[in-house]
Amino acid sequence: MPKSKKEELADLLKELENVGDIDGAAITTRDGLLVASRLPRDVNAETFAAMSATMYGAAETAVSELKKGSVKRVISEAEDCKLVAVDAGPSAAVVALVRSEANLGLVLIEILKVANATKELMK
Amino acid sequence: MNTYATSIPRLDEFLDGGLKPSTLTVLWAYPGIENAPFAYQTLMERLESGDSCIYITQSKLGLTVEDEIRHYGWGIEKYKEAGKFFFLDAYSGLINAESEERFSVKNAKDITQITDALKNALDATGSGHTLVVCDSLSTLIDHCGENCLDELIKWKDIFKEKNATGFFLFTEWPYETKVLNKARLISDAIIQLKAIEEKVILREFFIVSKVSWNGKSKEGVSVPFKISVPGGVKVYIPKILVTGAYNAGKSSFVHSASTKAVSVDRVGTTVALDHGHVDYSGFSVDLFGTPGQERFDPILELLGGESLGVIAVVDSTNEQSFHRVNDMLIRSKSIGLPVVIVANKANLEGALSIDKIREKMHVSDAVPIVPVTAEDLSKVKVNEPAKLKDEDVHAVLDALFSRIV
Repeated sequence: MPKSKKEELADLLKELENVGDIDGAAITTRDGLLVASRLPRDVNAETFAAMSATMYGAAETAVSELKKGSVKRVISEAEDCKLVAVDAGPSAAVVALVRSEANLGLVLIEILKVANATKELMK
Repeated sequence: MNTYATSIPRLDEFLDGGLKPSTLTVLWAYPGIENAPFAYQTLMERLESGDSCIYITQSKLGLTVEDEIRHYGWGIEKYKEAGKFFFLDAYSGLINAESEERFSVKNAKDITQITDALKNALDATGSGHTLVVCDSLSTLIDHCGENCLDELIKWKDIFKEKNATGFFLFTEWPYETKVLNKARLISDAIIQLKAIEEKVILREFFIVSKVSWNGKSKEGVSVPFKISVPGGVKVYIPKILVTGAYNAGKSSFVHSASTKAVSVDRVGTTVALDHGHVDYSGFSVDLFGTPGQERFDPILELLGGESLGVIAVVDSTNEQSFHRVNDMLIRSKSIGLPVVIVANKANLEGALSIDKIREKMHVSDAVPIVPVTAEDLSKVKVNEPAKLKDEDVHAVLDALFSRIV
């Protein structure tokens, strides 16, 4: 049986989790609904998705006020992790939980790969 | 006539009270959708109400079914020990294993053997009502051929004689149309389980498509559901927007209604989003509370999409807040969705009456306006969400849910 889109998206996140220094990831719609997630057990995925979408949307709004093009990614650096939200087409975003000591450039390449695949799938 | 409630939210209403004795109700699922949890939840409800239950299993061992039931958080052991719940094993014979169950058939491909075993099993349950779960009708057709459907008409007579009711699982594999039509014909009630994929978010819902015992069923109403572990079948509404003017009490509402809520707020005002999860009367709902101040309107537009209903909060003491709500409904693209207006702070000095609010807001009588008050005014702190009275919050949720499904 061919895989459903949902399963394919779940596979993408699994791939991402296998990358070193990434502890989890989620795909959310721009309006805050959870599409798929692989996150640590104690994280409420629905809330995480809603808040990530809000964070991304707020950044987009702030940037659009400046008229300096569109947002490509939002990176929040916390004490113990980095949160990387990248654009995945007009209706979705991929958010990854990255360890703080990670080499952001390398990790970002992997996240962008997944974001592009997500964009294709959600067309 | 007696009815036997299933305890699945909303389903009993559509069935006019529940399952009817000596009938055959089919849980008609499309491939890929699990229908067994509906049966598990119903059989637990029936066992708790003192009925007996026979589970006809044809594709797995009884132990596997028991494990699954436990997985949803229901204790089946005590009913098994008390002899109230038992299996009719029509599986072990297929894999040449010795059955460990009290009732079993040697040749599961012979429908008459199953009929005889069912009669024996029903004799053992005494005079009380028995729920017969058949897992599944599709396997029965696969094993015994489509003629087994004729045999099922006899089962209904047996049900009548022994005070029993049939609840059959069915998955619509690509059968011939005449088989499907026949299956529809012999069923007294059909609950269809379907799924639609919207932007890859899979939504599952059930529809009662046939109820022979009442002519007035609300046909065609689809109820979105999700199956939670533990907990079973819940009506699932992934997004309800909670909106309203600045300082009307949106965060208070989200926090009071939710079992778990988080907010992004600064000095008492929401700047991004309140998110709360509500588990109430069989519903599983996520609340999205928007900021109220105009400078955050872009966020409102961003988050407004795909809601299934709106809770609009107004401050009863502040007329200014009424107009703002209408504006916000337009901005969040929520016009036309089911809406309930919450008249917060209804017991404060200067609060307007419901009729006055209705008049000032120009809303029709069809939109419910529910007055809401804080639990204890002395405990309401500046810059923190207040705890609203549970009964008020529940009245709001009841009003909204009844408008959505």
